Order: sequence, then structure tokens, then C-alpha cells
Amino acid sequence: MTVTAAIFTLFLKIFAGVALLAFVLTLVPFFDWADRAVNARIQGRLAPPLFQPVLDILKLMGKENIVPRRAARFFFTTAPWLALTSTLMIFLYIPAGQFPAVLGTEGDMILVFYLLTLGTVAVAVGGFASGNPMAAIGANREITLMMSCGFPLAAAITTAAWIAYKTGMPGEPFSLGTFAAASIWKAVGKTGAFGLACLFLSIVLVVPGETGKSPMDLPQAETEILGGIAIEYSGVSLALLKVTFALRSFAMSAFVTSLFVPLSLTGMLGGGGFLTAVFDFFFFWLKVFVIQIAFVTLTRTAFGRLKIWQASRFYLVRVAGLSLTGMLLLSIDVMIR
Amino acid sequence: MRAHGTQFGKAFLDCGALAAALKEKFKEDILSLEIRARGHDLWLEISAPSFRPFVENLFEYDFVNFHVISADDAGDNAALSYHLSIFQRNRGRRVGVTVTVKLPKNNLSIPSIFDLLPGSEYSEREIMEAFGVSFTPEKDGTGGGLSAAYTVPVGPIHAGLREPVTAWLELDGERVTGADVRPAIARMETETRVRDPIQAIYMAERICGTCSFSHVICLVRAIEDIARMEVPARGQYIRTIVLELERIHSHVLWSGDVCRVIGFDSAFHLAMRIREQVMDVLTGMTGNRVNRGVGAFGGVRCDVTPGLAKAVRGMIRYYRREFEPFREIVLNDPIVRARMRGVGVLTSDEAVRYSVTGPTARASGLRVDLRKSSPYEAYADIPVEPVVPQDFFGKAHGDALDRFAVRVQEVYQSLDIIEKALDSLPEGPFAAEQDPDKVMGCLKNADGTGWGIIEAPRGDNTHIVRLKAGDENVCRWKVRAPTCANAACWPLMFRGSELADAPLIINSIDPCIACMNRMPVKGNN
Repeated sequence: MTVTAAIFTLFLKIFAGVALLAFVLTLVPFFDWADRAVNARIQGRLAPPLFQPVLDILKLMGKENIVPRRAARFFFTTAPWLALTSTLMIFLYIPAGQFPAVLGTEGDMILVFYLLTLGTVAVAVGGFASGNPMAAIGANREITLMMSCGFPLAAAITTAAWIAYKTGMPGEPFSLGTFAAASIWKAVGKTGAFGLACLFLSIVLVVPGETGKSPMDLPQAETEILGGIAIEYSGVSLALLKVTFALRSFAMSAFVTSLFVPLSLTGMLGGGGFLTAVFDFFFFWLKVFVIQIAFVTLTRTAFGRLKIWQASRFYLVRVAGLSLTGMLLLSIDVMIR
Repeated sequence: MRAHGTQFGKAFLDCGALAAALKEKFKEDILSLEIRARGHDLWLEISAPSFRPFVENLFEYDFVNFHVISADDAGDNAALSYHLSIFQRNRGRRVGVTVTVKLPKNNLSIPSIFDLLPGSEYSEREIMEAFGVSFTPEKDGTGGGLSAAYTVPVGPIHAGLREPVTAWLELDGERVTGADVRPAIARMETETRVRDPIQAIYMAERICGTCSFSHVICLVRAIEDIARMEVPARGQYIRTIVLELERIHSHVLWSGDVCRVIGFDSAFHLAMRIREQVMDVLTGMTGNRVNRGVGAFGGVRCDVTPGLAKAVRGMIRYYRREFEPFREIVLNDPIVRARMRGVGVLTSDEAVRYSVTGPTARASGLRVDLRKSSPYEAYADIPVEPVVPQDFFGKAHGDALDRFAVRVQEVYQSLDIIEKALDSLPEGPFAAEQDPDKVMGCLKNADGTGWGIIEAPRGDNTHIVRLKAGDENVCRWKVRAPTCANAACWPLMFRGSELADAPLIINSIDPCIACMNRMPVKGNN
């Protein structure tokens, strides 16, 4: 590759990245609105106006950013930025329909996993740094929850990659692009499909834990620790945190979608071309939307909140067991074929 | 800890028999003794030296429940009245015992009964602060205190609490290793001199927004007791209907709020929507949503017209249809069970010892319900069985889930009671006398002390009223709300709990600090 070509690729990636992130940031308040609206309608309340989440963020942007006297200033103020950046970066590694991920060749699922974790750790650091005991408890819970979710999530990712490798799906086994291009469901037999369903279910159960939504909204737990990690935040920092939290559900849903829901318009309608690719791009976000409503909004509407040891046990025993079952079934599937 | 005996274990507890037994034992030490038929109460005065042996003797019966201490000025003496009840644990019978002790003003000292009945702590402290009576041996006024470095306050202003309760929790991670719970800021019950009795009704109504009519009926019954006023049957039935509607309102509101505390917002909104129906009926019946304004001496101030009866029956049908899904959803929800089972446990022995009352006591397995044990108003005609968890769970755990289940079950019970009351609503006037001037004329000549005690939604409400002949105004009026009794066992409930349980534990007794917390008011005389 010549130098000019490299520079051209770099600029193209920067342009695509900026465009994608702008698109994601525009979409996220409306996904947030949909979440709130569906929740409100199920509970028999009025939904907020369409632009409410946007206005909330704009309002917070104009408010004073108060740093508590006892807070560790540097960590307290930088943590929301770090959390937002790392969560936002996940989108650069997620392919949308036929469009490959912007940085698809530079990182894979392990990096996505790492970025999710980094975002969580950043939020927890902000909580610890605020000097408020309630925030410290919230941060504690955040870390515990993250560690509990880690196993099922890692099991799902590695198993999927192993299947891709064993069945010879085209592409890098750990790259999300592999799973976007070809359906993992078609790569396995009947036993394997069962195993995949187990993995899918376990990763779906991990979504509330990773995103901090009810029944796993322990790090914030309004009626217990008064907002926990976010208790001392205000102004721009709080706005950043709010966007981060909304982005997290969005990113997790997008991740689940690209890994397990490879359904595409191209596949259904046949044909190709740029127009179908554009359609497919929007179809991808529609799938994400459906996944988010189903596994974030409906879950959080239907359940109360667990206690931290209950949540931890749930993930480390039940969900981990489920994902292990999935692994086992998939191994059997690969062996008998 | 003193065990409660088993006298009257097999036989029915009877006011006359109890009086005879006490008289035989204490002979001259009992200075006066009176049985008041309407209130199922025994009123006696005992000499100061034999006060403590007398209370100890009461423990031969199963079991003693402490309500409140009221105090009055009696010339050279200060008269302390201990309002107690003796319950028969398994037969649901009760005898109220008011023990009056006169203390000379130059030596205001009396043995404390805190070691016998720890529930008396608030009352003793209050009498000490307001009247300067010293209770011996004196307790350390600073409270237990917490030792660990890591303490976290829950409350007084907290998103999970409706009421200003402060719980200082000593934490080890999320585990609570010590708790110091302070209900509200002041620890005052009402000991007040107000204006005339009719005005007092409207003050009583404003004590609490949820159980306002219970407070009114409590006050009204205390004064009716003094004035020997009769209430026509229809008036009694209407009172019962309004009281039960209020209970439904209170319990549904509480069940919703508890769901909110554990993050189950959908159930909270469902409960709020269901609650509106009973509020509508109450509004239709009394004209007001919160402070009903229908209490009156010798009856009520509103009638149940055929149209209203139809609306109430419609509401009952609505509840049978719509409340069932709520109950099913919440009680069968795995997360609700995980959050509430085994949280805030209060055993039945502790409930007895701490004089716990109402649904909190019943959830600990005690069959106590004033509607059964000393029936008032229409409950004499409508049988009420105390709702206890062992009847439907097989065992009383005395935890938050039991408290939830008991309250939910009581909603159905209330629906049945209202339906029966409507079916057999007697004809006739709904008040003995509707002219307030004539009522006032009657009350002006009344003299004595009355004790009104009824089963309010949260437990037993106790009002003690003193009227003097020729005096238009209420001379003394003491209010003890059920929260005052139940709040004493919060520290027990915090044993082995976690931080996440704190708001649930505090809310599980349905606290109403507004009910129990008031400042003393001095009237114009």
C-alpha cells in the first residue's frame, strides 16, 4: 500500500467514524425516549414528549458542574468522559448490515468486551472519587455486577468464535464482521441450535446487568442508595453519564444483534447494490431497536430490583450454568457432525 | 425477659372475672375499680407502692399489650394512667386495663416498666419530658450509639421513604451490623388542650391523611363513652363502611409503595390506579377525597343512599376483578419473594414483648384484631377473623412478605365486611342528634375520662380524652397512633439485614410519622 492510499484510508475511516458516531448520538435520545415511552404506556402513564431526552441533556449542559469538596477532582471529572468515549467506541467495531465496522479490521469482539468493561470501570471510578458513601456503595455494586456478568458474556463470545473457527465460517473467528456476513445459526445442527439458543438467552440475561437497568439497576437504585454512582454528579458530567447509560443499552443491544440476529433484508429479498445496503443499514438499527425494547425496556418494566448478592448469584450460577450448557451442546454438535 | 403466663388459657377472658381475681390479690391497694361495658374495659386506681407488683402480676395472663401512658393534673398529685390490654392469644379476646397511679407532686417518681414492656419507652420518655416524672431505674438517654467507622444514614429525606425516619446504619460492606433508628425529630405524642369537642373532630381528622376517619372515630368514641351517648344502628353501620373503605385505601396505597421501594414501579402504578376507585367512592360518599368531614357525636354526617350503595357495590366488584391480578403478580413474582422473604423478621414473641399492633403483629402470627377482640360499631354483628400468615402460608415468618400478604388479604376481608354491612344496613336515623348546639349542650355536662380504641389500618389507634363538667372545651386529649408502638421494633427488624433492605424494613410497618409526631398545644384556658 502506498503512503497516499494509507492516508486516504485513514481519512475515509475518520470520516466514516465521525459520521457513524454522529448518527449514533442522534439516535440514542430517541431510543431513550422509546424506552421511557413504552415503560410509561405499560404502566398506564403518559409518555414524555419526543424531544424530552434531548431537552434533558441540553438543560444539564447549561447547568453548573459541581465538584464536591471531598471528591478526587481529577478522577471525578474525567471519569464520565472516559466512560462516554469507551462506550461510544464500541460502535466503531460493530458492523451495521452490509456496511463493515469502521474499525472492523483493527479490533474484534474481545475489544468490544474490553470497552464495555472499561466504561463500567470508569463509571465506578467516578463513583468512588465522588467521596460520597452512597456513591461508593453504588460503585462497589457496579464492579461486582460487572465481574458477575463477565463469565457468561465471555463464554458466549468465545464459544461463538470457536464455532466460527470449527465450522469454517468465512472471516476472522473473533471478528463481528464474520457473524454479520453469515448466520451462525446456519453453521450448526439441531443440537447446536439448542446450544446457541442457550447462549443467546444467557447473553440477553446479561444485558440488564451490563447496562444497569432493572432488575439489575443496583448501582443506581434510586429508592435504596439515592442514585448511587451518579449521586454527586451535576451539569455536564451528569449529562455525559446519562448519555453513557443510554448508550450502554444501545451498544449492548447492537452487540447482541450483530452476533446473534444476522437477519438481513438482502438475505430475504435477494439482490444487492448500494440501495439494498442502505436499507440494510437502517434495518440493522431497527433490529437493535426491537432487541432493546424487548430485552431492556420490557425486562425493566416487568421486574423489581434484586439485591447485589442475589444478582451476583443469578449471573454466576444460573446464567453461567446456562452458558456452559450452551457451550457443551455446541461442542457435542461439532463432534457429531 | 419475662414470660407471659397462661391464666385464662382455656376459659374465656372475662372482664368481671379478671376484676375479681385482681381484687382478691391486691385488696386494699386497689383504690377504685370500674367496669365500663361499652369499651370492654377495666378502670382501676392503684396505690403507688403496689404499682410495679400489679403490672408484674398482669403477666400471669396471656398476653399484656402496652398502649400508652397519659398524665393529668389531680390537685396535689399527678395522675399517670397506664393504658394496657390483656389479649387472649388464641381466642382473640381482649380486656382493656387502665391503671391509674397518683404521684405526689413533691416526689414524681415511679418504677419504670421498660424491662417488662419495652414498647413503653417512647411513652415514658415523653411523660418524663412533659411532666418531669422520673422513671426508675433511669435509662441512658443517649441511646445505644454506633461504633463502626462506616455508618450511612438512610433518611430523614430519602427517595425510598414516605416518612421522615432516620436510620443510621453501621455497615460492613452491604451488611448492616448495627442500626440506630430515630423516628422523626421530636418524640411527642399529643397531650393537648384544644377547643370544643366538635372542633376537635376536625383537628383529629387532620392528624393523618390516610386514616383520618379512624382518628375521628377514635376521638368520637372516647367522648361518647364519657357522655354515655348512643349511636343509632344505621350510624354504626355507616361508620363501619367508611372505616373499611379507608382500610382498603390505606392497604392498597401501602402495597403499591412497597413495590416502588423494591424497584417494582409497574406494580406501584397498578396499585395507584386501583386505589383511585376507592378514593372515588369515598369522595362520592363524604364529599371529600382526604379529610372526610363526616364524623359526628352520636352518629355520622352522611347517609348511604341507594345510589351510593350501588356505587360501593360497583367498587367491590371492581376490586374483586382488578385487585386479584395485582396480588397474583406481586406475590408470585420471584424477585419480590427474593426481596421480601426473610427480611425484617419479627418473631411472635418479640411482637408480644414490644406491644406491636395491627397488621405488623398479625404478620408475626398473633391473632389480634380489635374488630374481633373488642367489637365496636357494626363489627359486633359482622364477624371478623384476624388475618394471619399461618392460615395461608402455613407458617408465620414475621417478615416483610408476610406483612405484605396480610395487608393484601385484609383488603378482601374489608370488601366482605362492606358487602355484609350494605346487605344488612338498618333503617332509621344515621345520627342520634344532628343539631350541633344540642350535642354541645349534652357534652358540656359530661365529666370524666374516655378511652377510644379502634383497629385503624396500621394498628390500634388510641385516643384518651378528658372532659370536665361545665367546661366547654376538651380538657386533655392524648393521641397514640399505631406507628408509635410499631416503630419501637425497627432495631430488631434490622438484625442481619442489608443496606438494600433498609427502606423496605422501615416501610414494612407502614409508618406514619405525621400520626405519631405532634407538638403539645395549649388552649385558651
